[in-house]
Amino acid sequence: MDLPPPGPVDAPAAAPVDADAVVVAQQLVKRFGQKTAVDGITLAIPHGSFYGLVGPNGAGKTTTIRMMVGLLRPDQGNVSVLGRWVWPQPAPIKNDIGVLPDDLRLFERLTGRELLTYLGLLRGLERAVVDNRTDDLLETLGLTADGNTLVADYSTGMRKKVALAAAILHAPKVLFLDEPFESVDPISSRTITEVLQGFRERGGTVVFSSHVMDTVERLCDHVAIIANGRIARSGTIAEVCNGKRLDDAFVDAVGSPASAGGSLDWLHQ
Amino acid sequence: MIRLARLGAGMRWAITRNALRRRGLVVFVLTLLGAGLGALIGFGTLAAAQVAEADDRRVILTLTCTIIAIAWMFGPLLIGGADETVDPSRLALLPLSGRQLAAVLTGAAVSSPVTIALGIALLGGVVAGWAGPWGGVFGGLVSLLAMLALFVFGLGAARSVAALMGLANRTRRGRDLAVLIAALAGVTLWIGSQLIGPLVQSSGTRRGARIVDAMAWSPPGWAARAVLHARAGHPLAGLWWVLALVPVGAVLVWCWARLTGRLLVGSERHQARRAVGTGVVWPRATNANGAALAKAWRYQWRSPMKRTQTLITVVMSAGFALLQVLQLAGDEPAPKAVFVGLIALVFCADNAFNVVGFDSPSLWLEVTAGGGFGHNQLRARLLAYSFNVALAAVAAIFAVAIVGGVWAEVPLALAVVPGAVLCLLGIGAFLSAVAPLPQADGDNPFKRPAGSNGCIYGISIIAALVCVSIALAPVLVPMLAGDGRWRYGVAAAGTLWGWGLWRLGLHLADAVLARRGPDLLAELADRAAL
Repeated sequence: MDLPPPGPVDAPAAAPVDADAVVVAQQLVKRFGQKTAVDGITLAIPHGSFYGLVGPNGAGKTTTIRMMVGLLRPDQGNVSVLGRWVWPQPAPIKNDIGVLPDDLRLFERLTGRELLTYLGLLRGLERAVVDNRTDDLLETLGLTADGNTLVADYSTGMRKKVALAAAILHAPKVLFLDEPFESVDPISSRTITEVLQGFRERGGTVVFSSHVMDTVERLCDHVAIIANGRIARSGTIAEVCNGKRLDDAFVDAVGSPASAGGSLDWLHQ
Repeated sequence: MIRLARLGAGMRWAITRNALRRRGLVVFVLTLLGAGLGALIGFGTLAAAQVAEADDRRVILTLTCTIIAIAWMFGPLLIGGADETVDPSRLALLPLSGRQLAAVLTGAAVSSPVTIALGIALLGGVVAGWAGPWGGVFGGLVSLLAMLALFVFGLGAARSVAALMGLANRTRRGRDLAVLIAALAGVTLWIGSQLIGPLVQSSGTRRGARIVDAMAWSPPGWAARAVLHARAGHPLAGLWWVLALVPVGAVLVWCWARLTGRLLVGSERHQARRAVGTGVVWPRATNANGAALAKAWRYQWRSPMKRTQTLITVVMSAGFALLQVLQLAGDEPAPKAVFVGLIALVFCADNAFNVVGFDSPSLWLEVTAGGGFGHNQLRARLLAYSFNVALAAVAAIFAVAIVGGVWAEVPLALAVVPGAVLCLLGIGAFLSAVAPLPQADGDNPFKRPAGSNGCIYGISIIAALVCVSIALAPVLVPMLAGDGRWRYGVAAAGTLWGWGLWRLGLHLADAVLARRGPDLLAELADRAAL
């Protein structure tokens, strides 16, 4: 697709209009001191897609997602979601997106039910709507019995699930999930997968990052491989894989580790 | 906006209620009683200025207003961190504009039990400014406005400091700076609270008058001036001080809003990965003891909580020792006052007596790697911590010497330090093995162990400190009772005595660890430490 030139963060031009793309990232750059975490990422995520962001540790996936959802200000470039620029005013776009961040900073001293209720009300939803949706979500995610338990006492999987519930409580159009399956048991993983597939079948778009190639290959129809803060490959799964398995395509794109020559001979003595 | 503020208040109350309930009914009741008692004491102290003599009234109002403001600003940091509603990053995913977010956070801020208690306390200032049934109405109104302005100032300052600390906590150096500021503020607050009585008595002296004069020029002091003018029947003069305080409060609230915005966007905690090592593991450990010591030494400086311990114990020890000198209110301290620097042992006891419980998850790894319980870990942790104790004691001794101008006994006091440190750590070794309290290491330098174990732990510390006092008595009594160079011999004997206690403590601790090994590990399991 043709993208307009990247707009500066503080003075955006008109957001790009693309009937097919729901999220458009343009030349995103983010530096932390001397390190360039994201180095000019340009990406278009089609409407209704299940889009996977994969890459080695420290490749820039989390930083990219944070810039897309208005949690981290890019040094250069901008992002448009649903035809609106995210920066410099990220608040309005948050009505239409749901986010499951990697560091789950939740209100630990609220119960799961209280957390969802307060977040729903703060989003401006009616009390009755919040109560109904909270019940639905807790039941769907298998948290009904733990609804009155403090978030601080939740296991990792339960925290992921309640954070996912908070992300979809307001029925967003686009979901951004950072490592949703990390540290999650198979049962919880299946539950999350079913919720995400249901979301997508109802017309939603899902963007998520993961290390697990099998999961990405199974769930996603589009994928972008990020390495060293840049897009190494992107497109549909078929285009990126080009007849290979995704993990092989991934290694082709990223390259094998240079130190693979170590033999560990001593281990077998 | 009002709806959002109400939601913020509701959320704040739910968090407070749940947090207190989780820590047990006793803690819940004690906290509420504490807040109520604090409110009454603050109210009573300010209101007492109504009937005090003019000079005393000035001292009472100035000191109390200043102390309330400082306590408000730094108290949350000193008692275990600010509440979850301070850092807006938990609300970062919501579509709230800056003003809407400010409404939520303001609702949460003014509805905190501590804020309510402080508000009640400040009402005492209105009583203090009441000058009589008729002419006093305007004075009372000015006093009320002064206390309202002080409330806004305190709220803005407290939240700005908390937000600033939140930002600072995102970097290693910032965390250290935050700890240092909090520790210094805590000591100032503590010394100030202890000096109210002596200063009231000695406000005629030059030193006392200077301190009160300085405080009277601070913004909380302006509120006190307004009340003083109102009480003296010059409410219009008081109004000018209120008008001066209002813009300061407004600026602080604006700062809070700006800092909140910075906390919200760019809440990225990931920093560029920085190489901190040189690639050489120093010291070149050749055995398990050396490796354990090298690791413990590194942790002493790299762990945020360990560095916090060091900074706080040094500042608190020096501050407490200084307090003893300042309380003399004009009298010169005796040369032997420098021995008060050994009070550092009290401030280090909390950590010295829990070296096994601290960062217990890493103990799992160390024990697993070592194959046994790894008593070398205990020795290493204690030895690494000995530097902390010695540093705190030496800093306190020099603080007293510098402020009091007494240097004659400093060498002797320094000579006692090694024995005292060994004595503390010997008893600490035993207690650490017998009654460890799981305490996770982490990024939050202000986090303290909590729960019902805390009470038992506190009692253990007191009992152990009594043991330390008894053990040090044979060294300290001759030092304080006698004169002459022979006391250097006593100090040397004290070091040997401390060495003996250190060895005995380690021996007993080894026995306990060997007997309780696996059970103790289970007790200190990762999840228990959370």
